[in-house]
Amino acid sequence: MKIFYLIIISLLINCSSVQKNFAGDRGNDFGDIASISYGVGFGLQISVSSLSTGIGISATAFGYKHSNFLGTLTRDNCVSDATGTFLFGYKNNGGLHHEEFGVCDQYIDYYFLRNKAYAADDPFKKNLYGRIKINAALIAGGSIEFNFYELFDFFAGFFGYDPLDDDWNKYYEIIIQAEKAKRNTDAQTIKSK
Amino acid sequence: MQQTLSNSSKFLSSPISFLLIFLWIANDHIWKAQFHNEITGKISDITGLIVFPFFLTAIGFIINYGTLKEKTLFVFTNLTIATLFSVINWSQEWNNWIYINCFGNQNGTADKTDLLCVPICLLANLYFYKKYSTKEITVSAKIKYLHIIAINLSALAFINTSTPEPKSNYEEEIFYPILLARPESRDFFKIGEEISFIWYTEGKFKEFQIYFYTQENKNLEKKISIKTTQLQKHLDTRINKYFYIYSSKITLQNGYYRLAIIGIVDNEWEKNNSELYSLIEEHRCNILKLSCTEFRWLGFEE
Repeated sequence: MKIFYLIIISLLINCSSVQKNFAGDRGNDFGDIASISYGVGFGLQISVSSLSTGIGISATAFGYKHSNFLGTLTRDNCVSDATGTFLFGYKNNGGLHHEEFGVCDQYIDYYFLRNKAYAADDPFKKNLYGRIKINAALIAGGSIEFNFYELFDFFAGFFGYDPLDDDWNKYYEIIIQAEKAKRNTDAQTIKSK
Repeated sequence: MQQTLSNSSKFLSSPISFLLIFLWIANDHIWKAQFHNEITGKISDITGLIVFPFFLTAIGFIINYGTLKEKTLFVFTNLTIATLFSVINWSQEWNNWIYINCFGNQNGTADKTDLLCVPICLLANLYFYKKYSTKEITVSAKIKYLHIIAINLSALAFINTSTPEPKSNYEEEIFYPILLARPESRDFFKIGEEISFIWYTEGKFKEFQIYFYTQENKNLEKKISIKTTQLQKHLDTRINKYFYIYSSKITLQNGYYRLAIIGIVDNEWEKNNSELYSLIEEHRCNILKLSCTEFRWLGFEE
């Protein structure tokens, strides 16, 4: 019950502050907690945190991932979550232990700006350490995922924290405010001179 | 007791198989380089999809002789190859992934029309398998040699298909895209309100231009030019990429406008407004002498 009150109080504080995009960020964080997808592939792969095991390859055709619903994981949007595991895998290493959720040669605003997209040579995204994911396919197949870090990130967000650095609305609001403050300071300095 | 060949080996040693293998090799070695069109692309796919499952089944049967039934091996190899082939042709990203991890290069090209070859070739394979399962071919010295040659040629044809091609300088011609982070689509502003533009790019541009087009008649209503020297680059530490920020008070009539940001490399580039509009609309200006964002809808009201 105490946690419930804390969330309500924190909601009121945050909503009344300059963070007009607070609700948007919380909604996105909530949508990150679980994902489901349909695609093509072969075999069975299970991932817990940064470790993967199984034999198989798969890629998503459409699904619900990172608060984005249906039709997002297509070539037109230039996003790929091609996955392959051969016996054991760790992080997104090269070779057949590879897993990536990345953009190709174009930026994809949503995944990229929300800090959810990465290429093979980028650092492993923090949120993926918290996942439990099962991926099974026999030509057609799918995946389900639950992410503990995303759950933590969702609750932490009510208290003004963003452990996974994915509150993009808040981030840009801070940048814009900082830029305005800097310009005002510069203008005052010029005036006083 | 006279030995008989496996069904896959019978097919591989047949004139049809030799014809297909020679077509595959000639196509990859000569015709592709000379013509490089739809037909040469399909010849490789069809010949490969027919010959390669027979080749793998024959090899598998030799290795596992007596342990696994040939029919099981044949179904398994056909399904595996058909799946792999479908995955690499489904999208370029999957194709890149498979090529990098399996062949160590990124020279594959995904083509969804190739998926049509899969059912056709599966049916052809089934037909050839059935046809040669009823044929009794006794092993002679000639057949043995033919069999060995066929297996070697199939392997050669496959290796040749996966060999990296010389890298083109195509990538050098691509400029980095511009990604507009703010304002977002369907944002509303008061007329004369200050708008902050935030965009990411790793390209080297001489100038950025911000365009506002009307919704109804696609007229250019406002254009803002900013020299890159007037802007400061900032690092987004979350994603380790650089972005620019520019703020301006925008005065426009009530209504909806389409916004786009263009990065210009040099002054030689010139396009009239309708050409520019079409380019942005089709979002094709990343490989010319400029880069652009896609259109964003913005509303302005009193």
